[in-house]
Amino acid sequence: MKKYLLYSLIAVFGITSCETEVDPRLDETLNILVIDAWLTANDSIQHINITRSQPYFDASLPPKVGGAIVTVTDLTDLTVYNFDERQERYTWESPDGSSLGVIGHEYELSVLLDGELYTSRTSLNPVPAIDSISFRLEEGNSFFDDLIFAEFFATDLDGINDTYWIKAWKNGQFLGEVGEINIAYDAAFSVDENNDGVQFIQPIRDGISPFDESRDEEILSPYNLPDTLQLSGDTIFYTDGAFYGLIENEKIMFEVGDIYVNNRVSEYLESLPVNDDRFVFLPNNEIYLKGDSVYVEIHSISNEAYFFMNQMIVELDREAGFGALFATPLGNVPTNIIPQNTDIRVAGFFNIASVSSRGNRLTSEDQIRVLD
Amino acid sequence: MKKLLLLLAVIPILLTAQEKYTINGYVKDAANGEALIGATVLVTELATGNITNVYGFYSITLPPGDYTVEYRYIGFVTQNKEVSLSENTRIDVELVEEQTQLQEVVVTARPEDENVTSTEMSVAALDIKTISKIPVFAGEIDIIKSLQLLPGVSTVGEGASGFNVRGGGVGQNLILLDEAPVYQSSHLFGFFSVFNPDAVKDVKLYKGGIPSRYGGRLSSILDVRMKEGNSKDYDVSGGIGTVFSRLTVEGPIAKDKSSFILAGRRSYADVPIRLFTNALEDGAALYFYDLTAKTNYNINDKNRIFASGYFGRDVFKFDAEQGFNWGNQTASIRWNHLFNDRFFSNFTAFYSNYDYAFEFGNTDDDQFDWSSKIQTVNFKPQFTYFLDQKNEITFGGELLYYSFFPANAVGFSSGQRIDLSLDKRNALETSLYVSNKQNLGAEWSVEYGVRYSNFSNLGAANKYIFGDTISGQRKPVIDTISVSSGEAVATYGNLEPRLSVRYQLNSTTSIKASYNRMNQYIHLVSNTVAATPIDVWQPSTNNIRPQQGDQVALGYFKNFQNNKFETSVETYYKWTRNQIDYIDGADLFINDLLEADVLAGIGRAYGIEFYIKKNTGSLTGWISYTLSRSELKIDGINTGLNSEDRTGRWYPTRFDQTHNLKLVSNYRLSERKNLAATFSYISGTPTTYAIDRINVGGYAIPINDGSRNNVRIPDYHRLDVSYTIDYNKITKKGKKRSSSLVFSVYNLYNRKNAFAINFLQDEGRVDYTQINNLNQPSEPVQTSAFETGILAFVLPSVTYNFKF
Repeated sequence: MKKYLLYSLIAVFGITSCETEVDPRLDETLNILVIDAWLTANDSIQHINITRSQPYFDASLPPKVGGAIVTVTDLTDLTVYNFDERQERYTWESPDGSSLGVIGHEYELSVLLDGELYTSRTSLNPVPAIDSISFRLEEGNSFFDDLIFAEFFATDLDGINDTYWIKAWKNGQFLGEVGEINIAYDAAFSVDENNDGVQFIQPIRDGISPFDESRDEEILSPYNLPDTLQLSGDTIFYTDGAFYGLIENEKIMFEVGDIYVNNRVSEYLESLPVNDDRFVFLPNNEIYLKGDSVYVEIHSISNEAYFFMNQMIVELDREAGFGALFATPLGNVPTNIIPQNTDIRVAGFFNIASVSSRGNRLTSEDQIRVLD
Repeated sequence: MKKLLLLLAVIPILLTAQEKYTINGYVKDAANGEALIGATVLVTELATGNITNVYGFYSITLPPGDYTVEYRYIGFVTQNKEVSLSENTRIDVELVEEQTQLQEVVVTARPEDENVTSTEMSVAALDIKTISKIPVFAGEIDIIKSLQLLPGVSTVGEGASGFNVRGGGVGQNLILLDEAPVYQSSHLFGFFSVFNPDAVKDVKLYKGGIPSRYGGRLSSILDVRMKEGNSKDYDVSGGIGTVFSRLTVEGPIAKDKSSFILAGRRSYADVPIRLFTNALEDGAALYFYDLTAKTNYNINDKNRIFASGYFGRDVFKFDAEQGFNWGNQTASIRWNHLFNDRFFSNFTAFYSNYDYAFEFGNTDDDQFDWSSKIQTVNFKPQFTYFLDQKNEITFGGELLYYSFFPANAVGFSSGQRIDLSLDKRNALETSLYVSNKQNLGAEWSVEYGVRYSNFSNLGAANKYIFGDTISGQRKPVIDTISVSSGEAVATYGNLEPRLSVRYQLNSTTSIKASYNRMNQYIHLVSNTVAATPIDVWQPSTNNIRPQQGDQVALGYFKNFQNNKFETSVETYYKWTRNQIDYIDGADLFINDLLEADVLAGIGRAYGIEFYIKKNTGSLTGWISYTLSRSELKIDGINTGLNSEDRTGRWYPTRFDQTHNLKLVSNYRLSERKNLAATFSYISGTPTTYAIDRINVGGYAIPINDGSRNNVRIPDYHRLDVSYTIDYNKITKKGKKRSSSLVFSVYNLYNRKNAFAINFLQDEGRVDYTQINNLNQPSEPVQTSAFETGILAFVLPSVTYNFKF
């Protein structure tokens, strides 16, 4: 809710504020051990990252901490899953293509490193099926044009204290921006019997729709219908003459929003090979562009993982500019990794999720629900 | 308790025996009939006297005899009355403004030496004439912004609602508008205060030595009094400014008997936007407005009634159905009654409401409406007994009934109704107080009193019992007790002693000391960098105990050159208990279990305040410098890296400002032209820096060594200037018409002051695969620090003011 408020405030008072990048001197690095273990009950290959904290402005991938013995034990049936040290991370690979985990079982992660033991326990919780994914038209107003939202429908499992992480992909691209992290406590955001066992509330259902801005800072529709594009030389235009993208080196580069490429924000969300099946080259220099696809997964997470992510969002989703008024003091995210030696500080998280999934593609206007 | 009150009331009576008579009455402004607050009434023969109260009333009791009574008020011609006192005598006086006033800029309308002679200390008093000399922002004068130029009063920066007093939080100030509490003092996030200066007569901020008639907040009491309205003649005044326009109408309903004032303001940022762009079509809007109204009726010599009201709102809509708004409403009725010549009373009943509301979603099927409010009704009798020329006893009581609506939140999601509303909570706060202002000869004077306050958080409500946990973590609920209507969830009672002492060394020098204990039963819940309009008030419960504070202050006051220069040095130390902060990741909105996220600890604040003011001459103004510290110690916060027991260490509050220097100057270029400049220099406020980042789930999360407010943002400084041209004209009918043009420049040398520094992961989607749960972006995430400036630019503006 606070997010809506922030966006509207920034729209109004944005002009009164300005932001400048600064380079403050920070204290010496803490070099804390970080165990990053998010496993699923669906995959036959699972990874655990063990790294150390790095100076805040050090924008490199943290190197693996080697030499650890990493196991996950099913405490119910006592199966032990060994994670082998590979080049960049610790990996378990199923010998027979089966996955790791049984719903309702409890699991313990154990990491033995330099003679110190780190453990964590969690249980594998069930997850509801996704009943459908549909598209909905939101009519434009003074701040944006017509927008097509994707919306998933699923019902929270009976009983309070079910917690979920809903992940979404648009055209195969994971929607992993901080503002796109979509978590649910039962059907909403907090413990409340009214939210138990009902359909996920709208902000969660809509959370699979990305909001990107064009080069002119116009909000783009999260999902689009198929379109016919016009090719002129290397440049691709919409039928109304607006710029769509470029063909470079056998790739179609098109502008949909911001993305990191080579350490900088690029205007191109995606560059797809010219032969990607989203593009159908027609005669007369026309290109048929398929409608956008959406793919959604619901992961069951522990209550502790929900609170971890909830606070992670607070720490990450900070605003420069006027939104800084609403910022809370910086705090440390919790961890469920317990060091045997309590003098050692450790960070990170362990969770095993069961996963349900569903996809859809916007191919015709008939799919779009119009609200009256 | 009762015995104590009785004793306090009786002591002075025992000391008097001789036959005495009383002179009393009201002192008013001859031009408009407004009561003059703080006018001096001096009995020349005895060199003793009194000062008029907030209703302009005075009472002096003397042995029979012939006296000369002098009525003085700065900027007005002094009047002398010869009295042959052989019976109780009523003398109402109307003072005439001095004609020389145009040459002489007067920075105070209080008695010249009040700062030295009165028993009060730690008081920041500004009358509207002073405030009107300092355009503080966008060419407009503003009460709270002006107060922030005085020692001990500060803000964390532009865009912050409210103000901080002597190291206290924004929610620790009690703001009273004609006795009714105002919960949100800011329009547009603190750029303006909610008080229309055209309708305000007097402003007094108590930072310490708080008299026993006030209570309920820890740090300060801001007592704002509205004008009564001209009872002689009609006046229309107003102004057209860059941000908003003002219009005030006042006049007699029955001459000298009854008058009214009606004052309104409306901002029009949305008007040009609508004219030149289509950014605000479809019912979009952005503005604030406020309306202040007051009327009074003089029933007879002994009875007078006042009714006043305030209604203000900030509105933002992004289309016809969606938006948010917030505002205060207050209404108060007061009755002044004179039981006899020496026994003045005032009865106040008021209603006050603060609320905000959000509306999202444009169809009935999918929408979310959220509102929150706090309502108060109150009855407040207050009595002043002018026992003799040495004793003035004030006593009374207060009965406050609160209704808290923390969240009314109803959503419709595909037609399915979801009610996230939290239950209404009720509370009753009652208090009784007595105090005596006693003159012990020419050198010593003392004001002592006591206040007993009681608070009950009433059912029907859930009373939560929490289990123990590590400090700094969410407390688990172990039991929920349903408390029925009429029963209390929690009840607290506290005795609050108050004391002020003055020792006058000579006619221009005095030393003062004070002590006060305050209790605060309602808490402003806020964990953001600055207080905002969406912060919610929370009553004390069985888990959240009342805040309590003690303050001692010592001051030295000296005036020079016949009160041309006023100087003071004050030092204070405050101890506070049950100061609240929040666990990391606390959920403060629409959270029934908010109490589980609240931490409590102790606080301390201390400082020294220097003040030099030049009252007269073509150059007037003041220098204010405060050196201070404000800290908290709360288990679970600022615990350090490996702290096992989670014991909190002392950390500076967000509004801790080591140095706070303000220079305010006003230079009279000619009879009509005036140049003003204001300079501020403030130490950077504390903030929390990250040290490292950790990579979890593909995100780069900032962490630090478990410290809070461990660094400071850069120092703040700013210069504002303004140039005013006055136009005065006397019409053929002898009526004075005046107007003025104010040109002002805010932040003249374009200082980019920092409001906050934030650590952010760069915006944008990471090109990141989650195939096989790699949880690792293919490219590392960029993280950087950003400094935010609010209004960190030069802002010129023009305002036209008129009065006729």
